[in-house]
Parts: sequence; structure tokens; C-alpha cells
Amino acid sequence: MITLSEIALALFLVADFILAGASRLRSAVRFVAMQGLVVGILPIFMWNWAEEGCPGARVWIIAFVNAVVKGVVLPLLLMYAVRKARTRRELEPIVSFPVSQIIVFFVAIGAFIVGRLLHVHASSASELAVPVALTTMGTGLLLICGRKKAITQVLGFLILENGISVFGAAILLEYGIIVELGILLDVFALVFILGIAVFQISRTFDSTDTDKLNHLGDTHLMHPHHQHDHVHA
Amino acid sequence: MISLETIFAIPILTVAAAAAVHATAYIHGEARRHLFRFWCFFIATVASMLAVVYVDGKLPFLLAWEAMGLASAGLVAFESKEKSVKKATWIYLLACHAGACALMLAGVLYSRPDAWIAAFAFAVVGFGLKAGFPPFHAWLPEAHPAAPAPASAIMSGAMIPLGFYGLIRFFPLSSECSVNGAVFGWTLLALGVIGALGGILFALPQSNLKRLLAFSSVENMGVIAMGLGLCALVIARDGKVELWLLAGAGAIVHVLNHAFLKGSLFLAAGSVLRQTGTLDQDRLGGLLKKMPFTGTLFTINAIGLAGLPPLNGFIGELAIYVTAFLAIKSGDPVLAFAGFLVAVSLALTGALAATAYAKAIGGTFLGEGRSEEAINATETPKRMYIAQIFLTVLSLAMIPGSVYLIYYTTGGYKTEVFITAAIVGALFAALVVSLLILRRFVCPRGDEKPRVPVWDCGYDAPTARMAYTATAFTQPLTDLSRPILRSRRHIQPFKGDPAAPSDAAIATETDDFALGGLWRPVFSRIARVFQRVHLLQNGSLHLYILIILIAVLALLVAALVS
Amino acid sequence: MNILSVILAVILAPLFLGIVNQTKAFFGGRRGPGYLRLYKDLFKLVRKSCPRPMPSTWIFDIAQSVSLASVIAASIVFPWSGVGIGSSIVPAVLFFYILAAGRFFTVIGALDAGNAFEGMGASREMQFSTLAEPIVFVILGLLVMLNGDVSLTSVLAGVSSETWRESIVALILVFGAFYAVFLLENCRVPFDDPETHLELTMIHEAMLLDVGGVDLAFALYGAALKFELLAAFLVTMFVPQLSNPYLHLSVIFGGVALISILTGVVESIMARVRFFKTPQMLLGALLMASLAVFFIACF
Repeated sequence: MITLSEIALALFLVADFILAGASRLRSAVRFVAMQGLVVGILPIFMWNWAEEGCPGARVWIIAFVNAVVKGVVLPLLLMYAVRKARTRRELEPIVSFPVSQIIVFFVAIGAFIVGRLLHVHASSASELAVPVALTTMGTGLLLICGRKKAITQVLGFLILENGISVFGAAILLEYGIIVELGILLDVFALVFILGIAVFQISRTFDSTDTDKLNHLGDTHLMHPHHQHDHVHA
Repeated sequence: MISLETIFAIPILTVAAAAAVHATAYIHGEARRHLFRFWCFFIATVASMLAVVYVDGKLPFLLAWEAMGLASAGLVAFESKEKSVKKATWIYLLACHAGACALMLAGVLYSRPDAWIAAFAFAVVGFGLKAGFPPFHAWLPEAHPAAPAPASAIMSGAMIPLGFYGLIRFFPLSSECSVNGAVFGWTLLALGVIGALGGILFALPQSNLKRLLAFSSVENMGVIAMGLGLCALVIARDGKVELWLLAGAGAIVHVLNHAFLKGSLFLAAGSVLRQTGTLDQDRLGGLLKKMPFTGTLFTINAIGLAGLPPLNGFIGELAIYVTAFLAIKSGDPVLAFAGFLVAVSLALTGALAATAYAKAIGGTFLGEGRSEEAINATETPKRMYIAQIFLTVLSLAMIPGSVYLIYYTTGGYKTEVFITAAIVGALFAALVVSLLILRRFVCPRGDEKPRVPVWDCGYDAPTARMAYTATAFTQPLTDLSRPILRSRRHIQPFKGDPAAPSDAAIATETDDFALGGLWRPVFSRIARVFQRVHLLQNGSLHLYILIILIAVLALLVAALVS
Repeated sequence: MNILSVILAVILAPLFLGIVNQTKAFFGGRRGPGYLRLYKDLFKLVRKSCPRPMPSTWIFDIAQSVSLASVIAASIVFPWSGVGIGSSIVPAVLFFYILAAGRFFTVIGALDAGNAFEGMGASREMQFSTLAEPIVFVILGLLVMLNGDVSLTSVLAGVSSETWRESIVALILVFGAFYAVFLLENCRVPFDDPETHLELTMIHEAMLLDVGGVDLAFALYGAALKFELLAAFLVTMFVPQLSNPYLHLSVIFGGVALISILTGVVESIMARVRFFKTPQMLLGALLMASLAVFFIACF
């Protein structure tokens, strides 16, 4: 089963690359959904079948809940927000797509070196899990910092959460799953609120560009003539 | 016994012979009045190049080197009535003198063991100014289009590689390397990678055929530098003797292949200029029908220089590839990194070179003529393409010749790889011939004779102006590399009534990065400093006498004090 | 056996494109043109005359023949049954350079017709193949690092079970990167759509606009053979060498059939990406291949 989990982690890594370069929000949501499903099932792949036999009901239930929430519910919600906000594409990211991919590449290399130094793969989990988790977190942070659309930033947040889940699965802490459920609840609430917020904002202001939302704060007093004129797809 | 001198003397003699034959017809009309001047400089250039290769000792070498620069500057300045030629001559002379200056400094420091690194740095600058290492290549794309084609052929084919000759002569590559092999290797490797990739990238957008060829020379010198750099690095890391010999052999073989191929290409460019009066690929086209010999020879040589099998350009590159891959598997992490660097850069360079030469062939010789000059062009006098045939035959002979040279240098190491490469190339050629026979058999000649108009997706009256131009052909790649190329665009938009708009125009221009971005600011700063010194030279005799007086007094005081 | 397997490969080539099309038809709910469609097309084309566009020269006449010859030459040296004709010494670099030579002739043949559409196709073909080249050579370097020598047989010696266990991630990344190159070189979705004849978005088909008769047959057959050849390269990269050549050959062809089905599935569920996106996708593939090298070199 080690091999299966490694394949899953490799797919995770590939998904990180694709997400860093994806401009279409729908396909980005799809890949986040794929990551969510994989994250849900990962604990079962990583389970030490040979020694501990079939995992108990608790593990199955948690995996199921995780996979459903991250792989189905949240993506559906985001799809809904994408549809409602009428933004199909991230048009002018702060960090361009090719540069994002290169950054993820170096983050991955760094993560593997750090993973080597940390020696956290003592448990039965795969040696890959920690570096992949770090890379995924990096990708999530990159999306939060380097994109303008609110929905992409929510996506970044979800990816970050996926990374944390992989990390949890990797070190297989006894209480890790409970901690994770707490985080999951947080993220769920956040995505829910953001989803509604994005929808409301776009209906009120006709745009979800966070650059423009800056004008709502005090800063616009300093740049009275600072006007953006973006084209929306 | 094939010595290094022989290897570098062969291109000088052969390319010069071909260029001389070509020049007898190339210089025509008004310019024939200055024929004497041309031949004087021509002979002086060839003689001084041979002297560079064959003289003994440092001082005679330096003298020959300087003579070579001066004589060839005379060739560059041949059509000196044009302003661009004057400018190019100045840049070239400046490069020659700066090179000679650096070489003198290198020569002074050469014999001091504690200052080898300074000597090496000056030597790289001095020889690099000739061999077109970045950023010292700035004179190449200026001087080559300005010089008459036979002169460009000699300079690009035979003179530029002499920079490598000088470098290996004074810092020989062997197990008892006189300088630190790692420094030598990494310097050449870095310069080679930047030169090869940068050179070919800047060749892509050039619409002037000779400028494109000049940038391609920078690329090929980069490939040679990569080979030599890999060679030095393998020595430094105590790699197998055969391995570094293989890299060196690849570089040396590429010197010869590049000389024959590029020599012939420059001669063909000269023929095009003579017959049409322009080198702008966007105004040419369809010349293969008008100038069948020149065009066919250009095509063959361009395929060879794009490094495609079965022609000779491929075999030198293959030797460098094989060394790079063997370095990857050698287990030494430094060598593996260098191997990856070389293999990937060489792959990208090769692909870009193929694009650049597809553009050169397509823009100049294929399709339909895009201007009066191109439509009315005729074939050149016989001796012009005979000169090209001579060089092309040498190129074809270099297919087995390259394999032999590699075998000779390495003593049989991995020779079977190169022999099979040549055999597979022959198999490829045989397959082409048999498919053509099959095609003729299936589709009889009478059948294919009726020519049909180009099918332009239903458009009724296609004109030559609608065909893709050479600039459009490379536009996707040049757009992609805009941050490096910094091409300038001049757009004249539509004006007036939208229903019947005025003519619109777009023109792009890509200047050399090193010249505009580095040398021009540097030199203008130097000029500003010397402007202040100019106060002393104001033309008044009294001031000069005063200065001399002060100098004499100062010297007197200095002598008395000591 | 070697010659036999090459002949078999040459005969079977059009079948695999039939598999791709049938898969697409299955997903589209159609009956499909049949597995043997391309054979019939080729037979029909051979009997037609070759029109020559007005501006063209001998380059246009020989272009498709050279292009096909390059693919045939590459398939002759390819180790179909484990050991090929001379493939134990033929350098892998030569394999890709011969294919590049064929492509070069397709491109200048297209330029020779003096047709704006063909020029456009040629321009894009050169752009994308240029961007694909570094990926191929990073992967070649990786294979040399794993398997030892520069010859085609040893590069394609297959991945040992030990490597499978230790660096599965790297292998998946390599598979992804080379599959991207495979789709690009064969002008498949998402880089090019072989079915969009006469649209502004096409690449390879655009270069064949003025080609007809036996030349078109050569071009279509060459494309089919190249598809089979590169798919076989992809399969051989991962399948360990089997001692029985017949078994090896059938495993390779089975793998090629699987790749054909996969390609059909990909084309059914994906749309062609915009041109401006293609360089970025290739950059992603290059980074994945480099990451694989990093894994294998350092872990």
C-alpha cells in the first residue's frame, strides 16, 4: 500500500504545479477537488495494513467525511460562487503564471531538502509525505499572496489546508485527526462565509478584484486618482 | 600527425580560396575601381592569419594578431562610402585594439605563476573579443553585414575561431594543465552557454540575412566553447582521459564544420546581395527558382549548420552530447551538473538554430518574391556558386572526416557511436531516395506537371504579400523572449475613415543587447570623463609649451629628490 | 526477428490512430470510422495525382518524402523487440535529431508553398518543438543517469524494480513530462487538434494544406508511424527488458495500444488550450522533468 500512497502524493505534486499555472477558475476548482479527495483517502493508503490489520470504523468515517467535505462539498460551493460571481478567469495575477510555476519548483526542491533534514518520516508513512505537504502549503500561500481574485485566494486557502492535512497524515499523530477535524471545521466555515461574501461583493460592486476592494479602506485617501481599469472575462 | 596548427590553418586556406574565387565576381560595377585595395587587404588578412597560426613566440604572435585585426578592418571598410560601414569599421577597430591591449597585459602577466588568474582573465577578454564570447561579441553583428561577403566568409569561418586557437595555445588543455582546470572549464562553459543561447536567440528576429548569420556565428562559437569547457572540467575532475579528449575533439571538429558551412552561407548571402541589392528577408523570397544553384547550396549548408543529420554539423555536436551524457553518468556530481547544463543548452540551441535557418531558407529562397528586386533576380555568374560548391563538397567530406578526426583524437574511444551515426545518416538518405523513386513510380511525372494556384482557404486572388514573412515566422518565439531581446516596434496605425483607412505599417528592430545595453553606456561615460581632459588640448601652442615645461621641471625635481 | 518486428511496426502503425479515433467515437456516442479507416484513406490517396502549388520548388516535392523517411529511419533503429538493428550503439540523441530533420523538411516544405496558412502552421510547429526539445533532453539525461550508457538500447533498458520502489514519484513526473511531449510532437489535443482542418488554430494540418495525392499519404502515414514510435518510446522507458523478444514485442504493442486509448480519453475530456497557454504548459512539463532529475540525483 506504500506504493499507492506514493502515487497519490505524486499526483498531489503534479496538481500543485497545475494549480500554480491555472488561469481558469473552474479547472482550478476541479484540481482542488481532486486534491481534497486524495487527502481524504490518504490515511487509508498510509495505514499499515500488514501489521495493524483492517483499520477501525473511526478511521473509515473520518476519511469519508474528509473526502466528502474537501472533495465534494467545498468544491461545489466554490463552483457555485464562480458561477455567481461571473469570473471565469484570473486575468492579471500579481505573480505571473510561469513565474508561479518556477516558484513552486524551487519550493518543492527546498521542501525535499527540509524534509530530509527534519527526519519526521520515522512513522510508517511515506518519506514523501512531508515534502509534498510543505510544497502544497507553499502553493497555497503563493495563491493567497499572488492572485487578485477573491475566489482564487479562497482556493489558495483550501490548498494550504490540504497541505496541512497531508502533513497530519504523514506524521500519524494519535490526536492528529481530531486536530485536523477542528481545522476542517474552520476552513469549512471560512469557505462558506467567503463564498457568500464573494457572491455579495460581486453583486454589489460588479467585480471581485481585491485590488479594487482596497479602495474601500482608508488607503484610497492617499491615492485619490488611483483607478484601475481591468477587463473582466 | 594532425597538429592543432593544421586544424586551424585548413579553414583559413580553404575558405580564403573559395572567397577569392567568389570575390572576382562579387566586386562588380563601380567598386571594381578599388579592386587593388581589396586584394591588398585580402592577401594581408590571409597572410597574417596564417602567421598567427604558425609563428613561434609570444611577441611575433602578438604582432601577427594585431596585423590580422588591422588588415581585416581594411576589408570591413571596403565600401566605406556608406555611413553604416564607417560605424561598423570603427566598432571593429576598437574591438581589435582592445583585444590586442588585453593580450599584451596577459602576455606580461603570463610568465608570473602568482598572477595566472589575472593573465587568464585578460587572455579570455583578448581572445574572446575575437571569438565573440558574450559580451565581447558586439562587433560581430555590426562588422559582418558591413563587410563584403567574401571578407565576412573568411572572418566568420576562419578568423573568429582563432580566438580559441590562441586560448588553447597559451593555456593548453592537457593533464598537466597550466591553469586551474576548474576555472578554465567553468569560465568557458558559462560563456559558451550564454553565447550559444543568446547568439541564436538574437539571430531569430534579424531580418538582415548577414546579421542573422553573424549572430549564428556567436552561437557556434558558444557551442565550441561549451565543448572546450567540458573538456577542461573533465580534466579538472580527474575524469577519464578519453572523455576529455572526446569533448575536445567535438569542439575542434565543430571548428572545421562551422568554417566550411558558414563560409559557404556568407558567400551565398553575398550572391543574393549582388543579384537583388538587398539582404532584407522580408523583401526577398522565391529566389530558389531564380537562383537554383545558389539557393540549393544555401539550403544544404543551412541544414548542416542547424546541426541536423545526416550532414556534418551534427557530428561535432554529437561528440559534445555524448561527452555530456557520459559526464552525467560518471557519478561525479559536479560533472553531472555540467553534463546536464551542456546537454539541455545544446538541445535548446539546436532547436532554435533549426528555427533560425528555416526562417533564412524560407524567407530568402522559398515562396514567392515579395519585391521587384526578388522577382527579377537572375542566377549569379558561374564562379560564384562554384566557390560555394567547393566548400559544400568539403562539408560533405567532413561527414566521414569528422568521424575520422574524432577517432584520431580519442584513439578509438566510442568511435562506433559516430560511425553508426554516419551510417544511420546514410540510411536516412537512402530511404529518402527510395521514397522519391516510389513516389515517382506511383505518381508519374506527367501527372504532377500541372501546377495549381496556392489554396488559400477559399481566397480568390492570393498575392505574395499575403504569404508569411520571415519576421512573422519567428514572431511567436521572439515574442516569448521579449524580456531578453527588447525588440523595438514601430507601429503606424490606421488613420482616417474606418471604411477606407490609410496604409498601416509595423516594423520591428532588435539591436544587440551587449552593444546598446552595455558598451554604449560604458563608452559614453568614458568619453564624458575624457571630455574634461580635453581642456588641456585646446590647440594653443603656448599652453602645450607650458605643459612640457612643467613636465620637465617636475622630472628634474623628482630626479633631485631621489 | 529484428527486421520482422520493424516490418510489423511499419504495418501496424495506422491501426493505433484507428484505436484513438474509436475511443473518441465511443466517448462521443458515435459508431466511429472503424479501426482500419486510415489504411483505406492511404490506399485511396495513393491513386490520386499530386497537385503542385504555383510558387513551389523541389523542396515542396521532396518534403513529405524526407519527413516520412526520417520516421522510418528512426523506427528501423528503434529496439522494438528489446534488441533492435544496431540500436545497442545508435545514440539516443541521433534518434531525436533524425526526427527533427524530418520535421525541418515539413516546415520548409510548408514555407515553399507560399501560403499564409502554411507559413503560420510552420511557424507554430517550430515554436512548440523548440520548447519541447529541452524537456526531451532532460529526460534523456535522466535515463542515462539511471541506465548507464548513451545508446538507444541502454537508455531504454527499462526501469528496474528497485528504481520503481525508490523513486516512483520521479517516474510519475517523467511519465507526465514525456507524455506532454508525446502529445505535442504528434499534434494531439491539448496542443493541436488533428480534426480542426482549416481553422486558424491548427498547426500540423495547416502545413499540409497544399499537399495532395501520394504526398498526403506519406504525410498521414508518417504521422501515424511517429505516433506509434513515440508511444513505444514512452512504453519502453518504463517496461523492463524481457528476455523473450516475442513477449517484449507484444508487451510494447500492448502498451502502445493502451497509450492510444489514453490519448483518446484525453481528447474526449479535454479541450485544446489557447496558444498563449502552451508555452506555460511546456514550462510546467520541463519543471516536472527537472524535479524528477533532482529526486533521482539527490535521493
